[in-house]
Amino acid sequence: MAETRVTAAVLWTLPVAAVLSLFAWAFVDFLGIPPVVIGEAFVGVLLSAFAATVLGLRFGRAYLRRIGLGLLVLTYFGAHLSFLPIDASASLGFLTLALFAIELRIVADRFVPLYAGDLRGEDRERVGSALQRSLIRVVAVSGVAFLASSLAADLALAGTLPVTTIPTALVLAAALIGVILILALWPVLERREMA
Amino acid sequence: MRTTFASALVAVALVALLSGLGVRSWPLVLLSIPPLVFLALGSLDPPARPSLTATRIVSRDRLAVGMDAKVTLHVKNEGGPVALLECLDVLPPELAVIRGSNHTILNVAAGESADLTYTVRPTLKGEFTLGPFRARSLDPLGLGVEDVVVPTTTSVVVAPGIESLARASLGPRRTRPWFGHVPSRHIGAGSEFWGVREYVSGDDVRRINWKASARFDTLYSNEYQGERSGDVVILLDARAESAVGTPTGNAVEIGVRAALGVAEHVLESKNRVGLIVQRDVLDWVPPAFGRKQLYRILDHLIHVRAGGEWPFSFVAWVLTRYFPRDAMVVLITPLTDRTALESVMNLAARGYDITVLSPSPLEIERTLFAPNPQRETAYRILKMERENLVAQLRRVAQVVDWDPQTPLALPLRRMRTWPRPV
Repeated sequence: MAETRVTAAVLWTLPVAAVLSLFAWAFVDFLGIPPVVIGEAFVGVLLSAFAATVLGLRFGRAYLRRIGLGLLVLTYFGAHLSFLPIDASASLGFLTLALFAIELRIVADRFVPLYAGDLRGEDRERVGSALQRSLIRVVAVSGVAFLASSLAADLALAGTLPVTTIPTALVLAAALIGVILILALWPVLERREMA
Repeated sequence: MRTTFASALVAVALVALLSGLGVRSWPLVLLSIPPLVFLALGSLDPPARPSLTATRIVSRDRLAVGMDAKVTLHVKNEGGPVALLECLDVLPPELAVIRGSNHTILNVAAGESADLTYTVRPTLKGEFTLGPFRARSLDPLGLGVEDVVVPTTTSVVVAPGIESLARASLGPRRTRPWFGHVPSRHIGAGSEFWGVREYVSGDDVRRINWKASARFDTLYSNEYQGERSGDVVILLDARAESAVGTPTGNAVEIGVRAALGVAEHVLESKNRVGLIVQRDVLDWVPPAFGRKQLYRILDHLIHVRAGGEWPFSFVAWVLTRYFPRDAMVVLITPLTDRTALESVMNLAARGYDITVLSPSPLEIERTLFAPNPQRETAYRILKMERENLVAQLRRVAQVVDWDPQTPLALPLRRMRTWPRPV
């Protein structure tokens, strides 16, 4: 029983930690904004986004969390278009992390109610394996999303990643194909293993 | 079916692409790739539409409040494999799951079946439906879902709890010619001694009073008080304004328990019992004897839900037309309005013998809030008003002011006996 409660708490914490790391990332970036009125406005919007997210988490209001995350992403990219230099890798990382946070929230919304209830024996095993599959897919797809866009950036302007263009492109393309194959074949392989 | 998250990803990708092209910024164009990768990988393995059959087995279909029932739902996948299948057996809120879960996520192969086992405990009386069974095939990335509803339902009937009236004295004082347990103040067959008279031919030898016969040198026989039965009509006030308290612990639910207890107690004494319930409709059960009548009354009480705004005087109309005039009326009401006083006086004027059982709404509400000086003052004022109303009612009827925290048998045993105080 205690184990399921811990799993529920961890599942609930993961998306929160991802969103908080996005805010920390944005705040650190915004330290470089020059002291002009419109720059302070961006910081104000970021603080409002943070407040909306905290209120959404505190009172369990999904719409406040969504508004907070939407404002955060808009403010981050708005500030980078207005004042700050645009770093392709950092921007892709930020967007992928935001999508990863949303995916973690979807997984948490599905599984936390199950783990918070009375989950025993066979049910726990079934739900545990379903959770494992979901998390693997989310992590894999997020990784592929980042790597594929980095590959595209690398190809567009040789040198986005600190390696030579052709080997990076080849490795990323191979990784992309591999992960797609794993995702497509995963259910079939799993059922064969069970049989 | 695609979710709003999928649409949002498309929108983000489009905005990034168009704005990147618009301002000629290649990093902005690149931002359209992550959402597109999510969409592309999600569409590789879209959620399959499940084809399921479900059979539900409930360990018992007639329950009482607080009694557990085990539910087993057998789910079979008649279609292709489903990687993530979220299953929910829909339950009414009155049935609490106390063991297991009615909600799970499965991975089912083609033709595979799984059991969902859980235990429910009803918190409220009534007739409830378990089901339908809902299933949702999920995309791990949350980009699409496929819903299916299997219309398999099971009905369970939950009987209310019953107030024990053991050793309480509640029964009709006016009797009818049928044999029963109520002393009738008439000579007849019974066990209570009534008097002695001269022996007449045909008297039972066991009735001869040998001591009196020896003293007066002639045969005397004992006479006994005839024990007969009477009619009791239970009148339950289930109007919306009477439902003071929580959904499971309000004055109407408490009144239902009391009505069932009174019906059982009075029927055991071989009397006839009838029932009138005033809710959003006025319904009634004509008086009758025996166990079957108890089940009829129980069946009516199971379906009682507080509702309706009828004036209380409508009950008198039904009572005078469809029920015997010399019946004892047991009125179960929280006395939330003063019109009850007029109605009781009206019934008493028509010659009914009335007993009012009143679950105190003050005591019910008092348990729901933490005490503080303002509430204590308000409680004392309301209690004085209630005592005033009860005192006026006691001029024409017997009144039991009942704190539902205590068993009903206790105030009934303390109830003043007839004749009523002046």
